[in-house]
Amino acid sequence: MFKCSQHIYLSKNQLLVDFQKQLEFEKSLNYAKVFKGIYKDLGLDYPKYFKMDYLSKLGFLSAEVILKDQPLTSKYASEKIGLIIGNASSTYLMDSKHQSTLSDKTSYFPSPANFVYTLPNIMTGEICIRHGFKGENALFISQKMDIDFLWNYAYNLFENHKLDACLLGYVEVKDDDYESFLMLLERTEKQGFTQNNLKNICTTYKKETNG
Amino acid sequence: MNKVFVNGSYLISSLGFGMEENMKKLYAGESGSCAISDPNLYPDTFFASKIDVARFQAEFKSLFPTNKIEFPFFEQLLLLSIQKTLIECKIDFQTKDTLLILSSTKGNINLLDEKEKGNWEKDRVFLWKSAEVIQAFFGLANPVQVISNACISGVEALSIGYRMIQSGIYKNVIVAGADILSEFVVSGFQSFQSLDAEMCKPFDSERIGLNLGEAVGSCLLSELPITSKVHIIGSGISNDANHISGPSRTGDGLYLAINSALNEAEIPANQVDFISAHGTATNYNDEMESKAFQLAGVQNAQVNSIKGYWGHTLGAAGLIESLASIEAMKQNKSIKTLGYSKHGVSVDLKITKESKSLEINTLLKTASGFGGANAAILFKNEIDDVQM
Repeated sequence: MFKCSQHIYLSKNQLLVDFQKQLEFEKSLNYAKVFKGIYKDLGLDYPKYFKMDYLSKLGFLSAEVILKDQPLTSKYASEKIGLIIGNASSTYLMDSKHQSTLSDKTSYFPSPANFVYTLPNIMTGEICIRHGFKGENALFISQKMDIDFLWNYAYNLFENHKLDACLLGYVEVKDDDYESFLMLLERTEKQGFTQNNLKNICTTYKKETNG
Repeated sequence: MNKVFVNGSYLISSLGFGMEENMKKLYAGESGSCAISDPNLYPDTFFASKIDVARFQAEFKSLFPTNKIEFPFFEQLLLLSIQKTLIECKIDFQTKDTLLILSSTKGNINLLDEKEKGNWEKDRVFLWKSAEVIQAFFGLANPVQVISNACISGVEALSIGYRMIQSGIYKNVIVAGADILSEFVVSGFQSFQSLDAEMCKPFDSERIGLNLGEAVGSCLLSELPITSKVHIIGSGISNDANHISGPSRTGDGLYLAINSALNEAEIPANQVDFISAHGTATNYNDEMESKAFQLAGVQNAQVNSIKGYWGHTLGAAGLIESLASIEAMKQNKSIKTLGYSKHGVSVDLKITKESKSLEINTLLKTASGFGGANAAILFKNEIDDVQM
């Protein structure tokens, strides 16, 4: 049904692509600095990036790593390219920021630029804008990546010809921690990529970055 | 492929409790929105739709008389609504073949507020935590799935449930959606200047913005017609890939979602009898929708927006508006577009001006939202060939 063309994992200040370490940052660096380092390394010039919240930045950068050498819209119809993404804390950082502008009634200035980033699917929207994806989009909230469910959902969308390609994964930012796992799935005639393949990739990444 | 029926509809809005009370007021053209002066929600007066909390608490107590555990309001709404759906459908819901999907944009977000956070644990503000609590309360065998895709969440939850049953992974999917009014959300929409200070006017030439609302709704999707012969025949989700906070000017994104649903249903566009539009009454949304309907070729169907009755209820909107429109379809009635008088979008749509008898066999529900997301779902009322 589909194959996994590439996968990336970004956590604990390491960026791995197909299990190979691509970039590593000092452990003491916070993620603001790490994201900046990746942005620079990718040689990006995308002004909208600087308006994004950290969740969008992480999703955006992760997608960029996979898609920089392979524009999908030249291979597939834009409405057949989608995103299936999991996340735990939604936009907690930006939520707290927006809430903090409401506490003092004498200086009450909620900002629309913040408020728009209090929805987790803005992250997927940013990726769609950047890469011209117009297909099925889903943002699921779960404490841990629900591999079985995400795989089943992707399988159904490929089976029903809703999608020919999609990014599937889990993008999470909370307080001082972050984690991003993203893979590119593309339609294939062969049996292809199974639920177990997906599980194995996730387990391997966790082991490598914790070990 | 299995058919997927929509059973056991229940909803609570500013109009009232349950399908019957809500439908009565929808047909009567009665709005639940009003001016609200509540400094806990916003420093100034604003126009919105609120659930009768005192009545809700009494209802909650009578439905769960022995329950000693406390829940935040958002979760209480879901518990009550889901329970009503389960009572009506009488299925064995604790088995592996039943899934619960929740749709919400902000869940317990009010708990971020110092005044409201009480003694709740810090994690309670997260939707995964609400999902966990609700799974435990009902003793569900599968993890609860939460879809949080802005204003299309409700329609998308139905779409996902439909797909999960189609693929044979589950026999039953409970779909429940809720969002509550909070200072967080009201202040955010105010900062966007997208609220009308009076009753919203969908598709009208004088429209200036939306009214917010709070609501919960639920139903049971099942391969069996337990309480209803209405079933889903197609759905589609798309993204504008254009702007994060404004809809596409051309309607091409929503068009793709509608087209995807029509293709799946294998029906021509002119077979759609009725459209329950998103119709938020913002300038851009309604104009974009009218263009999308024309692009998709469904512009000859009757169209309404229900937002004038219970406001824009965010993560619940697509779900409760589907449920009310399905109910109207079953009763062969149309609900008029409250707030609409003078046509104000560039495409000549047949916006419903009065509630009346109307034969509806195929219903389209659409939704669009922040992040450029669009959703469309098609329902069919099967009169003859299903044995109850």
